[in-house]
Amino acid sequence: MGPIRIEPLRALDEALRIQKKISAGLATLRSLDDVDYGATDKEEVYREDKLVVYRFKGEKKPTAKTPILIVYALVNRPYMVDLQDDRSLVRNLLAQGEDVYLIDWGYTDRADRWLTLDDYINGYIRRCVDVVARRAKVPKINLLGICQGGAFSLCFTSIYPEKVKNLITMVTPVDFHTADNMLSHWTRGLDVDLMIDTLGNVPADLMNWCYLTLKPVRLFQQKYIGMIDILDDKTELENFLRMEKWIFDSPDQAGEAFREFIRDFYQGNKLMQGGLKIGDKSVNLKKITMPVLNIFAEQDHLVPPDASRALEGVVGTKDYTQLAFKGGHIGIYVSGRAQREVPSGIHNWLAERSN
Amino acid sequence: MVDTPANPQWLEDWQRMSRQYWDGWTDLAGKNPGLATGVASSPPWHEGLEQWARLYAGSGNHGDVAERMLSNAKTYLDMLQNLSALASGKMPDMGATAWTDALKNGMNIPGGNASMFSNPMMNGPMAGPWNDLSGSGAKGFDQMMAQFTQTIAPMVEAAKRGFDMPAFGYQREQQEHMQKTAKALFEYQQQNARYNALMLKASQRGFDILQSKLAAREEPGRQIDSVKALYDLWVDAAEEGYAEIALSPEFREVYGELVNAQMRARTHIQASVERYCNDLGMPTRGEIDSIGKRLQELRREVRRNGEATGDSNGLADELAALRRELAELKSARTITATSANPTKPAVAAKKEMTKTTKRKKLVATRAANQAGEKSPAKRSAAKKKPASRKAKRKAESTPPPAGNVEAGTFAARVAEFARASKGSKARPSKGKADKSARTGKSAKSKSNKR
Repeated sequence: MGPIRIEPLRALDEALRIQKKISAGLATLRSLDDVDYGATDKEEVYREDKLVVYRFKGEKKPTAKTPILIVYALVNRPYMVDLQDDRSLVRNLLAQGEDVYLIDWGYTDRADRWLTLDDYINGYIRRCVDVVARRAKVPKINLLGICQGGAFSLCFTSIYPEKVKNLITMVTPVDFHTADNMLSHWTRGLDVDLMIDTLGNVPADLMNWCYLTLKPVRLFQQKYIGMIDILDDKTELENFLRMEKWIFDSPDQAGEAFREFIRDFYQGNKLMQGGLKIGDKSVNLKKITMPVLNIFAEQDHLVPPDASRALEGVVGTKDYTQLAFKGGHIGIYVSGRAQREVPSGIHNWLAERSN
Repeated sequence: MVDTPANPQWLEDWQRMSRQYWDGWTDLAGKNPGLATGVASSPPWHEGLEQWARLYAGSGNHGDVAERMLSNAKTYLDMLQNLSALASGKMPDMGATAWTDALKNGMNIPGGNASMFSNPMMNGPMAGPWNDLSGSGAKGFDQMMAQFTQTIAPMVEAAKRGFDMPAFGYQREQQEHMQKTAKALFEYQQQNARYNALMLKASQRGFDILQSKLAAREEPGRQIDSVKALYDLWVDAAEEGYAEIALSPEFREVYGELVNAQMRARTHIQASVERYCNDLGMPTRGEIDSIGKRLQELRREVRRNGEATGDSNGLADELAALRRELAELKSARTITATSANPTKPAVAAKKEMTKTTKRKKLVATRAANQAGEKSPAKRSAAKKKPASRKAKRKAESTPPPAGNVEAGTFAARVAEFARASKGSKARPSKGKADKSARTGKSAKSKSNKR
């Protein structure tokens, strides 16, 4: 028996259904305003160069004494953690009583081409941590690093352990040389010095293209065919557009920092193997002795789960917790499951260590 | 003129034509089992989708998303038609291999040679993503390269003409540089061809995997009964095939060489542009980078100095220490004066008071001078009568009294802190900074605000 039995009439129905969806849906698409993002009120508490530290305002006052500072990646905009009302890690953390701050790195331009990882980690992040600690009148704060921001948070915590009470990493690469890490695989043949000397800053479009080519058929084609199905659902369509906007709303990457990140993390795997220096300060993950919560996504194609799991073997703490989330790199912030599991997971873990 | 959504006459026509088209096509397929391709070269839904695309062109309302969706919808509808044709009539008894071949050949999917990737005629329904990937390595690089190549086309042509000629004479350096640029561009094209060959391999591997997936569906009850299900199966297979190739050592080497080759070509082109700009007296990328680098170093230095001298509590602590030191010095001088003239303590105390008052005035004057402000005494004097040049010279040449050295240093340091604090603040409000410098209150109040 053959593997395919498609009735012509059924195929005809499918074709007409698609046409009808497109006819009705495109009018809806045209009528939609530009999608907005950022669900939660926030106030600016610190500004330096292009970065801004925000403190989010919940509906009630925070009950947690130690604030959380979210350190997001440089490669995307941080509003993914507060995308919309019903998809917001921040909002859910606030509802649990946490006091949440976030570093918004802003959009890098040519003036930032010479920023190094030393500037980012020993400079910006350190000063942001100090500002948040001073405002909260506490000697140490909780740090929540996401993706590349998680790798930065690991470096920072290892250099300044006295400033961090609890460390949370989300979808954070630690071992950059796992067999399934496609991005890392590609970067290892690059002459990154030649690349940065030539390009200066790394254009956002180029970064986006690299991410899309990790799964080209799904991300260039299947996604948009799937979009036809939701064309007549205004809410779903807005959600789709919001995500689409986030995906393509990326900053350029500061050349020198990018050079160092590719050379030392992706190519040298020094975070895992040792020998990493940020400026004149050595990074040794064994110096991270405070409690660590490591959250990763089991279907993550950007940061494979094994790249994150590796933290357990190299970190110095005896209080290490791992949370495997059933979803992908983006789903960990925006899926329905994520709203139920991730914020409460973080809050409960912190509450157990609040003394 | 394009109709608006409020009056979409063309839309109704499009739907009616589509219905007729499909009816006709179904009849034809029924009479001609095994019909493998569509009955018309340009199906009517294409025109409908084109109308939508035109309607959205240049529209700010999610036009880019609509464009992506419509482009893929066309692809999908084409595939739907072809698959339906394949699935009708006597085709159901085809095995997995025959299906895979039919899909590959009948639907124009890459499977032949690498040149297909650069062939604009290759518009098979499933070829879209591979077309996007081909010839680029990474599209971002390719787009940039295309733009650059277009911009510098005349120069490249010139370089090609002189490619094999020995360089000599007045234009020797320039000729040699153009030869290198041309070589770099040719090398990039070679690497591009290697990359395309790998993409072809990925596509072929995807069909191998699809065949095995289809074979698993030959069991009764597991047949694929919708176009969408078949499409999804193909996507899974294509991604698996691509991932196998993309994670291979060969791909790493080819991808790296492709990017590196493009960077070398760009470097040569940039050097040429830089030289031309220099000749025309225009600012160059190298100059801007140089300025940017110096600026960044300066920013770091300012930040370091600010933190070293007065980051929040540090400045206040140092100020307090200096005040204590000054108080101790004053106290020590009072005791000395008192012990030197024990018989007339009241007179000594009065003299000391006078000295202290004078000293305070001098300190205030020096601090104000450093902050660019006149002292109250000077202000009133200036109002009364302008100071003579001689008096000014005398005042400037007179050294401060020995006992005032520490106090003078203190004043200078206060002013220095004011400047440092002003410089280290992230984004100072100009008005506030100026005001605090004038009032001399800068140090502590600013550090608290930071």
